Amino acid sequence: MPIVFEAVSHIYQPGTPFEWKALEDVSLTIPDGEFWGIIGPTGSGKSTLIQHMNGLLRPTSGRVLVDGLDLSDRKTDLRKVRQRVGLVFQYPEHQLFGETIFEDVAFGPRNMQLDAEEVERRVMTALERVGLPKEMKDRSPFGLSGGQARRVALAGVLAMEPRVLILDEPTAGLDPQGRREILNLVGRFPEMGMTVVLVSHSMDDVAEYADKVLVMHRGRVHMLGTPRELFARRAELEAIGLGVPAAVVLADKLRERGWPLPPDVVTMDQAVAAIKAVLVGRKEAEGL
Amino acid sequence: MANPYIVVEGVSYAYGREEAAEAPPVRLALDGVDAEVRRGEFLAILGMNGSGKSTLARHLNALLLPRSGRVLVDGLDTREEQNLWQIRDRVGMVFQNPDNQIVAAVVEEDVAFGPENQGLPPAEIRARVAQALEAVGMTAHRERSPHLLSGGQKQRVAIAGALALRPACLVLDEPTAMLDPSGRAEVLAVVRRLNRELDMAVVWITHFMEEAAVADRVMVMADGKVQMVGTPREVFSQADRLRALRLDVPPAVLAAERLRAEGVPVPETILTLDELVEALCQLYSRP
Repeated sequence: MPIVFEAVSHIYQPGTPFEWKALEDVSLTIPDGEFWGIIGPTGSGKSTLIQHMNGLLRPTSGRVLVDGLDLSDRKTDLRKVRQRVGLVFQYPEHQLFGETIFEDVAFGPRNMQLDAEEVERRVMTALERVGLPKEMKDRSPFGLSGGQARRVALAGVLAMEPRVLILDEPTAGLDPQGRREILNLVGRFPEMGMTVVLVSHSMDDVAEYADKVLVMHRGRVHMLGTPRELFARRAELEAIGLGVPAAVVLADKLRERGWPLPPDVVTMDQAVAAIKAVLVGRKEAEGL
Repeated sequence: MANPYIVVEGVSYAYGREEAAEAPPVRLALDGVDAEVRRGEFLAILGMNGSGKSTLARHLNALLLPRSGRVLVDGLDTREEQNLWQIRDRVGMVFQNPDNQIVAAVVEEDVAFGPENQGLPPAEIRARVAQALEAVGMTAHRERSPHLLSGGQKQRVAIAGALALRPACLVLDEPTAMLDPSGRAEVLAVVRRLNRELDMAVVWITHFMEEAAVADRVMVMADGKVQMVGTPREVFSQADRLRALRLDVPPAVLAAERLRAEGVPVPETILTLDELVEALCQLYSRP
């Protein structure tokens, strides 16, 4: 169920002194099973964009199609769309409310009128997917660590078994290991057939996980491509206040000093391999 | 450094009430912490979620009082009620979520809130507000409503509000967690510059290792205790220990570590990408 944006614009508070064009003429297609990263400076329209993907916001003009359903059409049943397109907001653990972890995660599936057996199956599957031991299901979701609470919140969305999962800064405020755990988790979802849309400020995260990166700037699609394509255009990214992964910076600095590194270094593993290859190649050349 | 600005002596703290009945027995959020903040230094505090960083930060300006032990700010004991306002004038606080810190309907009024409460003359208030907004790069937005700003912009307003009080020490609890990379770099650079120019001590709590790399000293917390203290170079050379505490090392340290694992002999003292580049170029040019 691809997500299609056709010339979408969104204006907040139109006709008032606070009128704000948050999206302008955005057209794009997110195919099934891809992992997309969305980056952009604060206020660039990222959050507005993702809220169009499950009908939380309607375009001021243009159309959004999910699985062929037109979300801009007021007759479209948005409940169906929201079961298929799960949206995880920033700091989702602030929205936990159940007396137990089980109750919290079961809220969505119960609202879908599923029978008790199916609800239980989905809750247990979701907990397993986020890596929470099933013994924890009867504990209160309050008093968990930051990373664990976030997993519970994520499980609550997964339990609806969405086909598309949209995450807004899912690692904000987590310690480095918590961050890596959540990303490793989310990074596996495309293998299960899920489309993942990740809004992130971290270039390193995007470089590591995303198939495609969408750069938003001033409400428009500024750049779109694979991480390699994008990070090769470092100057353009920096011009709008975005950085590139540390590995790209390292490779650029070495190239300036005359290192013959390949152009496609994006992750630290690639940088290390490329550096080693250059040093080994040099040693061999000298040995001849 | 015989005379630190803030002294934390054997401080323990536990939060009052467990919210869930089946929660484990009361855990100490701080467990016998000894620490100091030196005059004019930039001290970074690292630690996993729940390690006690924020609890410690809240002890530095008497938002929380020790259950045992004591905190002295410029010699003032935080447990003495009559010291409260003197302590809050000296130690400013900025939190992670700016939405909870902004009070006024216009940016410059928000920044003026503190100086007005101090009863400063209007001309002085105006000068401080203008300077504080300039320092955080928000001058152009001074007449806007804070609620229409982005999260990052709001955070800069919150920092300006604290700066306008000209504190001798500024404590920032994950101030960049909600900012984009340029916002993060900008806020860090601004605070680092103010730290130097005003000789203002800074306590910078963060989950970003590369931010801690620019500090004068780094303190690592876990389980309510201080686990490591030292220069960034000293602390980040202990990668295994940091990882055991759910932390990590800055990208340059990580790259150097992986290169060594691949047999490339770069030194263990590397902290920044520039240092790594220098070390690699030496290897590259050496026959």
